[in-house]
Amino acid sequence: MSYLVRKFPFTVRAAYAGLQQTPIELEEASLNVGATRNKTFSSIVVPLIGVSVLAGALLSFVYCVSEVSTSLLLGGANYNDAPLTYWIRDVNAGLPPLFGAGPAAALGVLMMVLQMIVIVATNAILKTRASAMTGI
Amino acid sequence: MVTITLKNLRKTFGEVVATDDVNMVLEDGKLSTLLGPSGCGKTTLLRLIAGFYEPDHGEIYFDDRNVTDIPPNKRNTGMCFQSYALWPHMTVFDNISYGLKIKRVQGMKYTPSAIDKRVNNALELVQMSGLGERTPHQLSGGQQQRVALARALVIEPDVLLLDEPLSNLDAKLRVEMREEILRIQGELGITTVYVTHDQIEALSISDMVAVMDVGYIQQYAPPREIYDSPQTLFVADFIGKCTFLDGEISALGDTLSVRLPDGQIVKGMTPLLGYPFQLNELVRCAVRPEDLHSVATSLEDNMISGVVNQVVFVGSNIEVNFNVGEVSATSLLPSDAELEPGSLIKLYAPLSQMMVLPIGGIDALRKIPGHPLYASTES
Repeated sequence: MSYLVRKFPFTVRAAYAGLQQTPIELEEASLNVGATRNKTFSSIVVPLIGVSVLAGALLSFVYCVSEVSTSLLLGGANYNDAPLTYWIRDVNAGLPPLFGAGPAAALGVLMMVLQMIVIVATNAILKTRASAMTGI
Repeated sequence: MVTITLKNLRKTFGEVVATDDVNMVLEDGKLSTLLGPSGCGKTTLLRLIAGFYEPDHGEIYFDDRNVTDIPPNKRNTGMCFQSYALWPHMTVFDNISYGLKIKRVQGMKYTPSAIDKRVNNALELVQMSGLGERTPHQLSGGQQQRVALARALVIEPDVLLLDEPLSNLDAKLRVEMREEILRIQGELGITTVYVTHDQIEALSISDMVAVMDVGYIQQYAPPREIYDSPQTLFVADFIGKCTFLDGEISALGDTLSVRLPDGQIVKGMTPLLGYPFQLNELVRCAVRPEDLHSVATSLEDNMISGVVNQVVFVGSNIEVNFNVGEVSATSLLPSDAELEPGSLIKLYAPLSQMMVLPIGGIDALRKIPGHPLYASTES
């Protein structure tokens, strides 16, 4: 819930940007040939801004994975479901000084790899979709 | 097919009056053009007809049906947007069939095979057969334009609305598409409203032309009449070339005499029938360059003398810029005329080609009894 509240703006901004980039004529053209507003929204607006929403969602996910402050605050209350960043801190703090740094760093690398995979995947998806749409 | 009637339409955006006092009848099956410079309100007017804008006041009728409050998706108009507005996530076929899938005829849907047939017919009509599976970005500008046209036509609209459909095409393609649109419009006999800022385009394809400026219809008439007898100075200036000579009326009658600032008197007619000219009223005489001849054709011809300023060879003719007093004027003469800058020139203009127009544009039109703008002075 905390993540949702904190990262919601990223997705909203992305969707909003997507909406702004979609010319109003595309919607008007749909109304013009007889579609209702609801039909226009579902078959024109949603597919067109879908990419932007997806991009925003993935961006939010990446942010959430590396989120520290919320994790530390709420992770302890629900130990088994705690996120990666909480575990990193736990490993670092749980082992004797200097012995904790190694495994924590390893976990950190793991996290970066995970993020990178997501970003690369996002780019791959967006690239194909974006080029299909714009023709660039 | 329908006749579109616009009654006293007005549309403002905040403080800006986009279009006002529009009274016109766009006849059934005719191609009418809204012509004017950018920002004159022509697209606003088109979008009012399509239903994307609601007028501040006034009414729009399709035949006897008042459509003023009817949303755009219930008006059965087919619109081609300037940007084409093809949906990029759909194929050409899907773009065109979209409207058919929604359309109901007496509550019944089209069957898939009927949709197939109609879309293919539409593609054939715009000479795009076999390209249905492409996506819009795989098409050239001209092809996109054709798809947009097919999409607008396939739903069998009562009215076809074209918003500067050719402005994004290159010159050669433009002529081609222009003929294409004419052909399709002629074949289907559909009431068409065409918006453009290109006067040649407008004059060449239209049955009727409405010249607009600053939100007002300046003149609504067949192309020839627009060119031959412009009713306001704006129309005279916007359509073709015109030389303007300012002066004062010195005698009234069927032919008006106008005293130019340097004392010369020219006689002319006014294309603006019914306008109450007054003695000593400031007016402007408009004459087309090709109507200024180097030899008189009849005794009644006006003689205008001036000083040659510049001679430009334009191929079939020479263009002579000369000064009448302080005013610069242009004339198109046969290329064998020999003229030097600085020399005196005498040119003759037939009485009927010297158009005397009141200064004041729209306000002048309001003074003419029977003119569509006459009654609306107080509103």
